[in-house]
Amino acid sequence: MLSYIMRRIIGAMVVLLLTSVIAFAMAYLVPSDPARMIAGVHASATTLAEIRHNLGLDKPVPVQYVDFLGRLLRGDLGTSYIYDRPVASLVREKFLATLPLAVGAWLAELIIGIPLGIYTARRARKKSDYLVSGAALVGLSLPVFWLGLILLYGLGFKLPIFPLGGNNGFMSLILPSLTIGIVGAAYYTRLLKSSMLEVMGNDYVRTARAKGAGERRVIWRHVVPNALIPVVTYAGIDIGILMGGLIMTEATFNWNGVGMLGYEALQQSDIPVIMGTVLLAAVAVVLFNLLVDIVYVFIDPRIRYD
Amino acid sequence: MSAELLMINDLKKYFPIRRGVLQRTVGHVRAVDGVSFSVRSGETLGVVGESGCGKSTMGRTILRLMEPTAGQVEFEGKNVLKLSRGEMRRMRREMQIVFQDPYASLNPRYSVAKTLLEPMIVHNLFTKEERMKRVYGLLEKVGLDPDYAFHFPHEFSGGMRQRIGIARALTLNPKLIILDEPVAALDVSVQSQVLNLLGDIQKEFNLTYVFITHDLSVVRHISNRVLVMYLGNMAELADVEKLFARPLHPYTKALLSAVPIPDPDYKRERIILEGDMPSPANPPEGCRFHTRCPVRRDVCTKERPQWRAIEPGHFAACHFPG
Amino acid sequence: MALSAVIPGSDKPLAGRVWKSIRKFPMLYLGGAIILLLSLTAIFAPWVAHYPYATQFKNGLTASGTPLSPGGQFAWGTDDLGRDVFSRVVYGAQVSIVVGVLSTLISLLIGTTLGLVSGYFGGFIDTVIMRITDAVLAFPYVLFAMALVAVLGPSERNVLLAIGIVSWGTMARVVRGQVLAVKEFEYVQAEKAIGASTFRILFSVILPNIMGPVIVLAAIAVGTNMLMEAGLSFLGIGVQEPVPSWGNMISEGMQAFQYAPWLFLVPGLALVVAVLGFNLFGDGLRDILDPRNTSR
Repeated sequence: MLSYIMRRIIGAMVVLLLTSVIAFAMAYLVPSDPARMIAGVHASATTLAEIRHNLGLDKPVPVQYVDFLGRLLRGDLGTSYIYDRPVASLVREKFLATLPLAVGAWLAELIIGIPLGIYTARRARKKSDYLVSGAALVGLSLPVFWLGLILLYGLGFKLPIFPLGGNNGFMSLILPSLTIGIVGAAYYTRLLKSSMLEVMGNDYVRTARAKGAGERRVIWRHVVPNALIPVVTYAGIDIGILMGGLIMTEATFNWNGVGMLGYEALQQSDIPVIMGTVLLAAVAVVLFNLLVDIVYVFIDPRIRYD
Repeated sequence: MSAELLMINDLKKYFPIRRGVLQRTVGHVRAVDGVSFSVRSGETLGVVGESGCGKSTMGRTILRLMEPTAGQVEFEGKNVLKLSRGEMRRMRREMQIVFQDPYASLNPRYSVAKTLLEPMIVHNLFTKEERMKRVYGLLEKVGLDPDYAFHFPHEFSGGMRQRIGIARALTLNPKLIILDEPVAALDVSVQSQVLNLLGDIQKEFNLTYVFITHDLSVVRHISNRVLVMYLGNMAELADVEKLFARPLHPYTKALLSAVPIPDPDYKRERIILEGDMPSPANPPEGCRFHTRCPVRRDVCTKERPQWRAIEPGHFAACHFPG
Repeated sequence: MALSAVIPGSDKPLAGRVWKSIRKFPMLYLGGAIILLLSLTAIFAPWVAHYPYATQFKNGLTASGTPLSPGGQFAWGTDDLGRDVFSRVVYGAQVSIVVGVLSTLISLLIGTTLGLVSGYFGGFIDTVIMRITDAVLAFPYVLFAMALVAVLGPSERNVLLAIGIVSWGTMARVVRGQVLAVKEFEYVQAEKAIGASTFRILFSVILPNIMGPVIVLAAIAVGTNMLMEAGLSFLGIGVQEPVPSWGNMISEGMQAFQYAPWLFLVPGLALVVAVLGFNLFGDGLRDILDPRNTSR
């Protein structure tokens, strides 16, 4: 088991290295000349050359990559063009604001998705199943930003139950969390339903029933724990989708967090901030997936032996 | 004396076992562990043994569907293992294979005609008309109605699919065909039909067969000589009747004693082997068979028996044959 | 082959069989109908739309300068610049279909090739390709596409490319899984025994036999990619004004949602229906393939 974990960790490190290469490649692709962006349109050729030299842009590519990697490992994600502050500190500042939204959204996904998944599995092929599964399919097809607008319009404007955006207080957390939550829940519902149906078709479930166990006990003690295993794996992928949703939602609800930071950076072509946020997101995904893999070992007895 | 068509020398195929953080190779599964024999042109060599004795692996390795770990394979005197890609492609026309599972051995998306045309297309043989003629001819040869040429595998029964597989093997006019348990997946009634077909074809096209099977009654019916394998090694090799009349290796004797004889008055000793077959990843010391052998002695646990001719043309690897 | 699976029974009258088939696979047909409608709208946009998408009508605004609500000359109302919403939505369909389909084709091409190679050859090549795929998949789709477009410059073409480059990962994984399953079947070995080249084995033998799940994935991917394009356009880095994309229309609508809610509602609805169509179709395809696909 230990060797399995070790292998996963090494694998994650390799993937992290590759992500840094990809991020570097993207940054290197920038058609716009950073020197010109800093110095302005009318700068002379010598000034531009000097700035380029300062930024290290005249060194060969592999050397630039090593420098880049070195800076990354020290936590240096570059400096924002617009704010002229280190990207890392900007992100850290806004992170605290985004965290409650991220947690809220994830909770919303789970709270809506898992019970509905179990519900549709137990009532498979009945009218109620078609209804809920159909709703899930629609949920998958919803653009996050549009759903946000609808919720904002319906429950914030027409019926002023919730505040119209901004992040102050618990009430303003509900709508944005639901926005991401509803779409994300749709995935969980479908996944859990198919997972449960598969488990319920297994012989050991039939045996439990034959032993006389009540339906409740069969479902909750035998089926659900096993059916949840692929859901745990999915949680790792989900965080990626969640982060994508965050930027849209923060833009829609005027929520001043990391997503908003990214949105503004997009509007103003603040490349370092964009790159920094994206790279951080990727790192977060890899680390989170690693965590999921490790937790997986403890919950799935089948892979305990290498 | 007909020439030696196929010569196998000390053929080995090991599969590495990887463990640990860095996936280090900690051992090998010795599927084929030093097999040597030759096959004469026109004969049928039966290869028998339990599941897991390596006979199927050996068959595929001979054809280089898997690369052997060590050893030589010579076909008509040419070293098969050293051929370049182009030469190997041409060599493939001489050696073909018929697989065991009629349901997995045909491409479900190819019509019968396409399956039979495929080898000819790959090797760029014949014109379009000639190819189709050959297809119809082959179908007739294996006893299938040529009208079915454009049907798909799922429309046929197992026995018919095997016939198609046989037809495919014949398409390129090979000299040698390796048959990997070709009738094992078929109903008994169909088995004899296919076996008869194989016999007829062999005569007509002067083919050489290596017939791999676990079914001793089948082997007796169709082989000239029989090779018995155990745990990747050769146990005994002899002409078919000699093997059945006077088996020398204790393993062969045990196998033969298990073959059902439809005579209620016939009494004989069932030789029941003790224990299970050891893992090919960790074969026993000395004679591989000693852990289950009813006549084992001390020397069997220490020394590997030599493969030698106990009688002319009758070989075995045992310290105490007979 | 597929048609006979969907509409079985070759001896009964056609109309009855088709109807029976529709009842059996409602999702497939509903999704297919939506896709057809969408495609036709996109292809015939200049004829379906009432007006060109950029025309600003003087009578498109009220006396106080606010957009007209739906009804009358402008079937679905006008926007802040007096442009006809209905026509813009119709032209928006063009953008969605083109970007959605082409980006999916790009990711199919990359993903299928890599998945085939990785699955068939195994070993070191497999490890390398899979690690790269893992790295690409680590970047959240939207953010990755965002960064790419920011770097390349906002335009419809760049959005197309970016989405295609960002989404081949799942495709590659699925294809590889399928190849691993099919690789050991004897008919692949038989092909090798005949002496076929590796290229032929991969593309003539293996690929056709794994198409099912791949096509399902592709159908669903078109929907996902359309959502991504809309998202990018919404954020301002996708399709640029005045060309209408449902995404950038929603973004405009966001500014005006208090007094002209139809501006964000209508394009959003169109988008949802379009994506739903592809999702239904994909689900329906999966249903057809499933019980009939047990390789016999």
